[in-house]
Amino acid sequence: MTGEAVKNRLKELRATKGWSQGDLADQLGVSRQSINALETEKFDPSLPLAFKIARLFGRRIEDVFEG
Amino acid sequence: MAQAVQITYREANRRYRRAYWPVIFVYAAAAIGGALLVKQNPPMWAIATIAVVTALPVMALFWLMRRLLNETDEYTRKLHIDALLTGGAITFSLAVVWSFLELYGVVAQDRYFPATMFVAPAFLTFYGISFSLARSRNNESACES
Repeated sequence: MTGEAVKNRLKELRATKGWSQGDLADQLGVSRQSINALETEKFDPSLPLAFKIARLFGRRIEDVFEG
Repeated sequence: MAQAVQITYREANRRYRRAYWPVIFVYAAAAIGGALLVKQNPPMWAIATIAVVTALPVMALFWLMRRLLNETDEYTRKLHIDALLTGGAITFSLAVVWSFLELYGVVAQDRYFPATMFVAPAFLTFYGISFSLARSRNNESACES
């Protein structure tokens, strides 16, 4: 990965649902490590995964991620 | 790389593990059985066949790794690719150094275990270590809440 990671509100949104990283990972079909890497902004999701996350929280993609 | 198949991370891991141990078992059986058969002094074509058959599970293992890469989630795929490159870089660097040491007569060519025999195990070992280190680095920074 190069450059700055995309900022996101994943941790905050997850907290509002009361989900653990594992709960969110299971719902997205990814590893818990993936969620941790996303929340700590060490990894940028692909567009399909970003849409999937936004849909899961019932938000627009720009409400979850910002450049 | 081909378009990733849409199955979950857990299912991809399960499919990999389900096939991994049978492949390792077949490899161990072929390596031990092959060595015993070769001691019976069979014809050269049979020895060549034993050699190729013993290597088939290793080829299967690389195919399994490729399938896992296609099926796992994108972050894990990134970790695997980093680890594969690191493992490959270390293994082939060592292989080049060793080949020159042999060429210049610094080390003797072993008559029983050719150096090339260690390339695949070394690659898999360095790849495994690199992947484990990358995952543990991520876990250390985990902030589960």
